[in-house]
Amino acid sequence: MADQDDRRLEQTARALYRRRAAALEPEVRKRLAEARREALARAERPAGRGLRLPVLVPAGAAAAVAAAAVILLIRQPGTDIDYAPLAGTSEPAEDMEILLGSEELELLDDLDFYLWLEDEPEIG
Amino acid sequence: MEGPLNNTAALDTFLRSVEGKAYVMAKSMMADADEALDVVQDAMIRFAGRYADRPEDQWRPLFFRIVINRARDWQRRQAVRNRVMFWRRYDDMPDPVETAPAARGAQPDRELMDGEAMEALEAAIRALPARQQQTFVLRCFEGMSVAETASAMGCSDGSVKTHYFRALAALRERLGEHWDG
Repeated sequence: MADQDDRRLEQTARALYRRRAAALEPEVRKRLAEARREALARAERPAGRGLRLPVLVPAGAAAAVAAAAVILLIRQPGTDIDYAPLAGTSEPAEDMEILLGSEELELLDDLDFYLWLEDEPEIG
Repeated sequence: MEGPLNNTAALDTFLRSVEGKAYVMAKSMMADADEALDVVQDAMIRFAGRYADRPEDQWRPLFFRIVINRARDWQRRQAVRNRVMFWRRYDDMPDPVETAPAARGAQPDRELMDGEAMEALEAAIRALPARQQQTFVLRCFEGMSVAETASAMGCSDGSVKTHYFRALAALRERLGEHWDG
């Protein structure tokens, strides 16, 4: 019985997946087409051109170091912050790996705020 | 050897054939449609830049491997972001009124039913542990074999079977017997 239910669920889910992929909204299709053209254009460029902005590297490195400092600060024993890991999430080293990734610059934009918060005794 | 510069047409055809599915797959693992589009764009760029010179029969598993890994990266970043920014957690959540789909009076019944069924399925998939999510979308959605799925996920055939069995049981339980796409 469970096998029959599984087969039915699989067939239904697969059919739904294919129908949804074939009937995407025009705006989504347009963005996917733009993304495809961008991918093809980049693939045709000689390696190493146009993908990096060297001027941003020092700023990114500084931001990453600052992020590490903030994480160490808020993880210090004695703080009142409840920092228990959520179910299914990672260890501190994994957090750092993610935070130090170049794609987390948006998150690092708020570092000034975090540093200010650390200086506020009634909050931190 | 044929390189990326020489197979642009084949690459274009391939990406056209998978981009819509990749978007639906990524969206089923993430709650955010814009982020799902970004994941697909990133996957296409990475695939075209790094793997286009591989034999074409390897393209599909390689591409979807990138998609699920990028979706998983996003999930991990979200988890870390929520922990670091816990005091601002609710500020970043989209307004449910603003993000609600617009009413479409002329929408065909089939599309409406598909939309509701897919929303239920997506919510059920997102409630699964990450490895079960990945196994389900590759095995069920894309119809990959156990061996292809194991290769894409970097694990053993036995792990794929276990994850898939548990995923199906959990989805069956969550969706109930009346769910029907």
